[in-house]
Amino acid sequence: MLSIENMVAGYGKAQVIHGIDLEVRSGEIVALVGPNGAGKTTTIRCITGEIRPVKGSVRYDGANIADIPPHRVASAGIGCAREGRNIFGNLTVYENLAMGGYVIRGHLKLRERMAWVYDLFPRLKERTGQLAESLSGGEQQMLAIGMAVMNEPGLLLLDEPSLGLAPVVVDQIYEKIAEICREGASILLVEQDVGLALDISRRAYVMESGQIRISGPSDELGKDPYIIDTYLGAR
Amino acid sequence: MSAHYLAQQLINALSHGSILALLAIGYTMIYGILGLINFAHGEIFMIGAFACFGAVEFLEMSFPAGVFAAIAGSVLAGLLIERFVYRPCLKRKPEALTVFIASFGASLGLRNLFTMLFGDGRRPFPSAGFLEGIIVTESGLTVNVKDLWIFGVTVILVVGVSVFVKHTKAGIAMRAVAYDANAARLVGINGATAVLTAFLLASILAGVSAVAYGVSYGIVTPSMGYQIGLDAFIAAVLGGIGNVPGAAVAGYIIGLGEILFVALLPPGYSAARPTFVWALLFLILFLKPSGLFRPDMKNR
Amino acid sequence: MDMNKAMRSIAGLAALIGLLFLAETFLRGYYLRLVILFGVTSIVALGVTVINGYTNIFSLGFGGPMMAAGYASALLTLPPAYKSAVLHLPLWLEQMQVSFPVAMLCGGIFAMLSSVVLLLPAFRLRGQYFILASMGVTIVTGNLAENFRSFTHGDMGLRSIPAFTNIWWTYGILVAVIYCIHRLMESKYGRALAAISRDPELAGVMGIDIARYTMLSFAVGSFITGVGAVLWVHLVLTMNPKAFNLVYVFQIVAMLAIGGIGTISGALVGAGVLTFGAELLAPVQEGFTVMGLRIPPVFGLVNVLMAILLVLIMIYKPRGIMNGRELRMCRRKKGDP
Ligand SMILES: Nc1ncnc2c1ncn2[C@@H]1O[C@H](COP(=O)(O)OP(=O)(O)O)[C@@H](O)[C@H]1O
Ligand SMILES: [Mg+2]
Repeated sequence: MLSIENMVAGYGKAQVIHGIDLEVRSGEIVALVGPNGAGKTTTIRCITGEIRPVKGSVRYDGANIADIPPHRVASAGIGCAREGRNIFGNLTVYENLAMGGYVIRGHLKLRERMAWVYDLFPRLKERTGQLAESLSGGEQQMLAIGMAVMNEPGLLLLDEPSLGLAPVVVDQIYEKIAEICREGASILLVEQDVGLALDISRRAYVMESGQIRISGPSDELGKDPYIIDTYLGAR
Repeated sequence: MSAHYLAQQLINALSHGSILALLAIGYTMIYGILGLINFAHGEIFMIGAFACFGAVEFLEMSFPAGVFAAIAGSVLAGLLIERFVYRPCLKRKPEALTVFIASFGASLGLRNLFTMLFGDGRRPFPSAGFLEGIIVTESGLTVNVKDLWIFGVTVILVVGVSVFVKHTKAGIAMRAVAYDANAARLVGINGATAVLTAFLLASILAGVSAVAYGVSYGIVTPSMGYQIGLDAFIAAVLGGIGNVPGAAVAGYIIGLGEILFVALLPPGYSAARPTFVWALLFLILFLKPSGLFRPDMKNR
Repeated sequence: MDMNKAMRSIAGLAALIGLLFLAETFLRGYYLRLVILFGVTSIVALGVTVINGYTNIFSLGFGGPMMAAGYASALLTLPPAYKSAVLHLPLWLEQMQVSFPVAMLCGGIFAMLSSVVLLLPAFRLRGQYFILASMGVTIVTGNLAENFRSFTHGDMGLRSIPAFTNIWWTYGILVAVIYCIHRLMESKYGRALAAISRDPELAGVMGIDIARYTMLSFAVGSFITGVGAVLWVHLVLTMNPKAFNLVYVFQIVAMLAIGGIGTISGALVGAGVLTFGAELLAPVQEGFTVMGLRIPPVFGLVNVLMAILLVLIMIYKPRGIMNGRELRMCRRKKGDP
């Protein structure tokens, strides 16, 4: 589905990603973990077209997407919940979801997707007429994910969906992420909480200072001494 | 001061309030979506008035055709300003001050250009037969037919634009861009289209407002947009930046306030009208620092 | 190194005095006035730089205090006979006539006090609301000046104001202002201001009293603009409610934007571009001949061209011509603070 090869990227003159390879196959959850500032968010931005890689390729379903502008990736079938609360605070929950499905043609299809998202997150249905900025943190994250899946994306990018949420809420959200995957989407999950990410994913990449340090099946990485020492020590 | 007198002033304020309301919506939409004070909006308004004047006086078009000429003139001016001033300016992600000055430069340049081309004298604005006439009610209130027209058209437009912004997909997308343009792009909304839509709507309303001004005061001048543009901008801030119905209501409040100020005080004071408008603004801002109604945009 | 620096400063000053002397000897009438006007405008621009360039607020309200300073100085220096003929003043004010330096000091203090009184309440407001409120201060002051006829003679304005401003006063004050701002910015106070303008939140966390420093630079800047207003009044010799209106305010702000806000050089370059630019372009509107083609005179063309220039600079040089740099007479050596 998604394959990144030898990608180099950065901001202006500052190079942040120093040539990485990464792949997401159909129907799997892939975790991208690593410390703060490693370049995970930058990688996501390269996929969404917010940043143009300096070198290397980003392919989705065989087509190079590195050069298409961000407002086209949604129609290409990629949904994204950015880092932080990626919602429109001045719109209602309903309007936010409608914007999530902005590229959907046809009213019926929109209704159908909306119903699906409300099924997934019944809490959002209760809050449908409420302004997004008045939601709780967990509800805002649900809304962000809901918006990202409105368009029935083949690939879903999630950047730190657990950020700043209480553990109970994180568990709820992770359940939903697994459910979205079962419904057929492939997911690239960026997370700082390595234990959490390894539990849910099939494969994982560990990124440090703009490079992939280790990658492999998640259950194997969970037993890797380096990973245990560096990231799972507290467990 | 009798109730009758007050009612009469209320009627007199219909036109002035409408002119301000239509302009204020333009300021609020463009500020909402781009975060910039479009100082040239008063000149977009002025150009609309000149387009109508030119079409009727020189091209000998009918008055209704002149109204469309005004709208076309304002839209052309608005889109050109967006294309050649704001877009290249914003592309470099400048500081707020830079855009502010560019907007001021555009305003000054257009006002000077029209002064250079047409002189700064007043020209008579065309009118039409169906606008003439006065209605006297049973209770003795007098209403100008043209004021009714202006008020009616304004109400229709305000309701139309409010519904557009509140309920249509393009309108919601516009508000989404105003809140977070980057997030909006990721769901597939083309920010440039939303910005153009805002300028288009703002300019159409400015064109109509220009005709209303011309019909109501009977004159066109290159500097006609300056004072009224400031008043309308005040209305936009009072209405809560980004809030379309709020801007319209605030426009009427200021219009009525100005008329009452002039009507209730001795004639010697009427020259102090600007002070009154600003005092009103200060008062309201001190009571409610973010305007009368809820702003519909991200705080910038 | 210090000797060297002092020598250079003295040499620079001597060169400036020589230039001014030459200007006064050889330039006549209009051109001399232009040189003085540049000096006066620079002083105002520097004052506004202190108000707006070194803090995190942006005020368009300095026209109001300048208006106060201008009228104060005019009223303090006009002959009592003129005042009793056109104005209705309290007797003490009508009889009072002070010397230029005293008038200048009064103007500066007047501007400082009025700016603090007028804008202090506005500090409550944020962002565009503050800009709007400060704009209102300028507009309202002009409107009040139109209406308090017994003090201002309304739209007719005050005339026959004594011509005190000359090249020496102007450039003497300009050099003093530059020196003071320079010293100020190198001091602890200046570093605090720099921290505030870069990142107000961080500065607040670091324990810098933002309100106090903002207030202080507001007061100092207003004093300078007040002195500038007084110089302007005694150069132009009339004072009316439109003297420091919103258009004037915008012009000054445009100068800062053109030169680059927050630096001394930026203010000077901006003032130069706007003051002399209009003169350089003036022949264009007189009409001229290109390749046998006679271009007719177009009145008002200069204003249009200046506006276009302004927009172009904002597009292509968004941080101003000086791009935040200072011109220095002597390069800093490593290790200098
Ligand atoms: N907009 C930006 N401009 C310049 N540098 C940035 C920007 N955003 C992030 N960086 C830098 O890029 C590096 C990687 O950041 P990021 O991708 O956000 O890391 P992560 O998401 O893994 O925490 C960091 O060193 C950060 O300082
Ligand atoms: Mg990140």
